[in-house]
Amino acid sequence: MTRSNPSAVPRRAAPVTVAELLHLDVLTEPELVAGEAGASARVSSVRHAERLADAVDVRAGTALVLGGEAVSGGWAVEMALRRAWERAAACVITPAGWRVVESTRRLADRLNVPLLMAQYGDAAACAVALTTLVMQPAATRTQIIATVARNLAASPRNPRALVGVLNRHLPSTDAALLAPDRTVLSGRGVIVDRIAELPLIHGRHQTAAGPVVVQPVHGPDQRVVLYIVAALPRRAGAWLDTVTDALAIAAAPVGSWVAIERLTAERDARLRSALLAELLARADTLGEQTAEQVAKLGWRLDGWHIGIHLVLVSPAEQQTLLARTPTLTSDLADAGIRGPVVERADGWSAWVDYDEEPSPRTVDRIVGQLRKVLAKRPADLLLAAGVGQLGVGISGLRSSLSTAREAATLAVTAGPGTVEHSGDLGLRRLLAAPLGSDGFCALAGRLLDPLVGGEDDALLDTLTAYLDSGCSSSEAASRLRVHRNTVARRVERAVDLLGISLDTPEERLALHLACHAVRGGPQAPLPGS
Amino acid sequence: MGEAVAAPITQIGVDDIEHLVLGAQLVSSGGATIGTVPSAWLRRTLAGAGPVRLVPVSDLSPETLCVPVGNVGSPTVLEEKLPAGEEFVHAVRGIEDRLGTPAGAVAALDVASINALTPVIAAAQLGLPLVDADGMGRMFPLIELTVWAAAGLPASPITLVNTHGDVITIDCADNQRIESLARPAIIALGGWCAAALYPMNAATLARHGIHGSFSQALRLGRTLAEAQERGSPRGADLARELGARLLFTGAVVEVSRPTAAGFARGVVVIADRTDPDRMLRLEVQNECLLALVDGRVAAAVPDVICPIEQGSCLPVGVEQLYYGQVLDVLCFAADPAWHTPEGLALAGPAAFGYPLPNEAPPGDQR
Repeated sequence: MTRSNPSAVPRRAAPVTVAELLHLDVLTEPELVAGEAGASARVSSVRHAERLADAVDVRAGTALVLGGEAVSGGWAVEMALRRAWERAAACVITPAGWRVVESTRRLADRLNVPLLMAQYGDAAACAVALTTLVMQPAATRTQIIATVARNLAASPRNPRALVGVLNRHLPSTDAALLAPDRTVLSGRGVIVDRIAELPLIHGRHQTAAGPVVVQPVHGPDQRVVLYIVAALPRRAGAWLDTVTDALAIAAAPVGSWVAIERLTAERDARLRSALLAELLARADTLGEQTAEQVAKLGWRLDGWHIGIHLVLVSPAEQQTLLARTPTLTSDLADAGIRGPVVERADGWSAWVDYDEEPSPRTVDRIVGQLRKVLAKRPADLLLAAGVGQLGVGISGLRSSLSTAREAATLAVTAGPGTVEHSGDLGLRRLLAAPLGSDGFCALAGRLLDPLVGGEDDALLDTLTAYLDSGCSSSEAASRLRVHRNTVARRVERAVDLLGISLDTPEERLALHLACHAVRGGPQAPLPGS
Repeated sequence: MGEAVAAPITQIGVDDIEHLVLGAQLVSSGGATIGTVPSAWLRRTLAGAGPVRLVPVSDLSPETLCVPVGNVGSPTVLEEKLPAGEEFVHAVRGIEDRLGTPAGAVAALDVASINALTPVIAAAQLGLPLVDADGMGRMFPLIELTVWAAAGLPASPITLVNTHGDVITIDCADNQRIESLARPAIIALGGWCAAALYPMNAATLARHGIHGSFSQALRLGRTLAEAQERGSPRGADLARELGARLLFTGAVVEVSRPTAAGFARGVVVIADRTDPDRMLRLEVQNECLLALVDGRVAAAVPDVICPIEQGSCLPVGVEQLYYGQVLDVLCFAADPAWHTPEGLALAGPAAFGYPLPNEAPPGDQR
């Protein structure tokens, strides 16, 4: 059971410090000219002085607001500073319009009396405004949070507007919206320097230049997708609490923006995928509704098409697929491959349109560009691709995309970054059917399971090399760089484990296909190399 | 001021010019430095006429007409628009004609800057004695800022004479209006002119005025010259020998002179070399007006604030202050006549735009 300390003042009601006068939006364009070391002093009362004589008996902890004769020159401010120091006043506040020279600055620094400059014409009015703040600090701080909340609620739901609310209503604070890799999505870029050494962890952090508040934003799946970060100046005092609260309030609308964006992207992707699937399944004529949607998306169905199919080498989540579509689309466009890019179960379908029949050189160029794009994929998103036959009209698009898919199936077995053109496949096209069939691959995997993960990883590789060499132990041995006897021994062991024989051509063919399905083609790297 | 009782100075000759110049610059409170023309003029005059007799006012019979003289207008113009030679003679003659009385002695409007030399020139040219007295005790920018005006004595009749011998005589009952009448006249006359003003008999002068001014200037000048030659003393010791107090020693770190409407108010900041956070703030216009150290008033007009360059031991005018210059800043207390309510109303800090709160006058810490 915890006991609350009755003498502890809740932070919201803590007395105002000089530094906070700069933040709490009571002074217009305030500036701390000198005497920063004294800025954490508490302000307990306010006094205004129109003549230097008025400052003679100022009380301790007072903010002295100068006007009239008392600010007729820097010399008067220096005398006020001296007086403030002698009487332990909190600070001296002056309007703009007098020249600051070195002696004034040094004096304030030396005496640790903060010297503030602000825009005001009437010192008495300024003093009254400050008095309200000083007497009721909690009310003022709460008011700022209420203002922030109100403006967030009324703001358009985009990051720029939302972070803009924070930057507008939290004076002397820089706020920004960051991606987990610290890219600034919106807000003040200066924040990057302030967080250079910091981990992006929820909470408050102290840096040499002042405190930093990190507020994570969660996506619909409860994972952190973005960070709202605010950097404060030194000696923020209770202002830090205000900023922390404001950021916590802003997390909700930013989170809802993320959710909406994601849902929109998913819906658009589903729409595209569904539309394409319908196009590929139907006959040559389109229904009215389909035609309308196609037109809305800007897809051309007449004319010549070259279809492309991109496949993920290792499976990824649908979320990741969706997230990568924009980057992929723009990279393809940069490489001169401009056309629709539609999400599929295993990757993407894309195609390029032409008014007239393109030359074979065009197709070759596309294959080359595609190779370059694939080479630049990040490690967690490796792709292989296939380019289909030329086709014209809807049926041409259909056949081009399906031949592209066949080519992609074979490209995957050759390893990431491979691009196969269906025209080059030749007989290998036949392999696309089994190797592209999930059922076949699963069956092959089950069949060859005894060879995989055992104490001898080389069994599957040796068997594949043996079959690749047309059942020649010596050729397989030279490929694998082992002794002929090693090959023979391993093949015998494999056959034994599988419980099969290599006597008939059908068995050999079936086994050969199964090995390729499980292990990939001859170019695939050997395990351990 | 001045400890040992030295032998009274009874004349001013060619050999005294150097000391007179130095002393005059000391009490000018950073005002204009003396150029070559006035010194040359004085040298030439004394070489021809011989030394001038310097007398205390008590040596004169009470009804003797004493005519204070001085240069008014811009001393810089004087360097270019050279004097014809007889300007001060004409000025004094103008007063004599106006009053119908011959002058018996020449006095000084002030003994600061070139106005320490011009009365000597006048006295030499007129063959009259020079009274050891002046009206300001330092340099002030306006004609009506004299202890005579503070005592209610009229400045007029005033005669103004230029290099062409043109004469303008001003009669004005109210000293407050003198400036507005005299300034345009001085400009019309060419920028500078010889002036004879505040004529009074010796009895009045004995009662009102700052006495021993020329003796004082000569003594100060001699002390300063010796200090220059010997290379010491400096700082507080020099101040003591001169009868002043040392406000501050340091190097100039900021010279700020904006062009504002009217007279240009400037600020000069001097930092203590051993404790660079400790600073002297000097408010200047044509002269030094106010000195603050750490936000406290160290000295203020009418007291004389005089910066002396440490190395050369020369008084420095405000126009010549520059970054890095090492200075001893001295303060000479003004004549007690200035520290009366009338005096302060005319020439105190408030009159120059510095409404200081009532605190103990800084000169009391002597």
